[in-house]
Amino acid sequence: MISQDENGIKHVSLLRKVILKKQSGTAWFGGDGWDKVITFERGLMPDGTGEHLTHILREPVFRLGWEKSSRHGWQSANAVPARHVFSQVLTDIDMPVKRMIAYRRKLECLPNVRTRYLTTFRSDADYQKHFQNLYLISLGAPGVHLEDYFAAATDISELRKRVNIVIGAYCLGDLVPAVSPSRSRDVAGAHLAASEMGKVNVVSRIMARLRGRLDG
Amino acid sequence: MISKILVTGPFGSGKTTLIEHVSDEQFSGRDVPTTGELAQYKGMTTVGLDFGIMHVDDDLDVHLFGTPGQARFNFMWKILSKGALGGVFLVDSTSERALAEAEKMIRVWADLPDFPVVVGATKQDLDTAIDLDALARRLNLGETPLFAIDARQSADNRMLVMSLLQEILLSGVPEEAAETGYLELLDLE
Repeated sequence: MISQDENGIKHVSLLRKVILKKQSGTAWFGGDGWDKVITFERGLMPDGTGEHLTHILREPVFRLGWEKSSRHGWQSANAVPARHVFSQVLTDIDMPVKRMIAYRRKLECLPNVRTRYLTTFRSDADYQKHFQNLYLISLGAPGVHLEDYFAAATDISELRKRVNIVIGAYCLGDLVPAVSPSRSRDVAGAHLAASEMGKVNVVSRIMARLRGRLDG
Repeated sequence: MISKILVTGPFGSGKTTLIEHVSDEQFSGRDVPTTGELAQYKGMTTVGLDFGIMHVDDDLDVHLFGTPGQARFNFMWKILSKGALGGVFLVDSTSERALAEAEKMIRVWADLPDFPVVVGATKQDLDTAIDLDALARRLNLGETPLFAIDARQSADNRMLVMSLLQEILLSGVPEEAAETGYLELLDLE
């Protein structure tokens, strides 16, 4: 069992890990007087998981755990991509301010990121707009620092959306580091590493690709 | 270093406007009077091509080739696509005519191997616009990146072009490779 205080977000890390590594098994989460269990099959979530996920993201989680399994706990026919579940939950969730601040504080500790522009928020025009904004600013070198993305919110409603977007993007692998993680263990280190890395961005990579084509 | 990309989409979708507003250097194709029933939508249309150069940085220029929008010039699409790394596809979100045309056009590009496409939906701010989710379903876009853009805004256009460059890169990368990264940063102790 893993424990954390009321501001911990290790449950978000666990969700990310299970989804991205396409694992099968059972994740459980416990808070003040509640417990929730989500089964995964190769990183997919069962249909109807949204209610549990909403609760886990809204309430402080004090305990969590993971048990890997090779057998199927439920029918594959009920499996839905995690992207669909997160999309529905995050655009509908009414996140308490205290929880939103806890997520913001932790997520700001990530190093500069690039964004993969996928379909998660396509169903909600307003979320799509803010996700598109994150994508736009992350295209520049050396990616975007999430502190800046959150700080650009004009009001609490927009900030709530931006935090929700980053939670979803983090769990679903839409955020990738703009710099080597080993070189950026803390925020100050992230900024330093980002400037040292210079052109670790679209331009340098497209040029490498073009050169590869020409050389080939 | 130069990379070539196409800017395409149905008649009146904003291709010429996009190239005008994103290019640092621009050469416009010849405008001629629109013919047939499309004349009611726009008086002049592009023949030949629109061409613009976007300086991405000191080492990289993107050459943008706009295709003519009217169906009678369709024979030019494949000619223009030679040597192109991918395409920016524009569609007017408010026009049923454009959407119907886009459904057919995008199949042409989808059939080209190793030709990534990103889609820009214009006029999304208007009440009559089809929403992005419905547009994606109608054009059968799947995971193809779809942006709401204003073709008159340089930042929006630049984002489209840069996203295409990113797509070109990711098209050769296994999915799992993009997902490795900082799992450990907020990781379980």
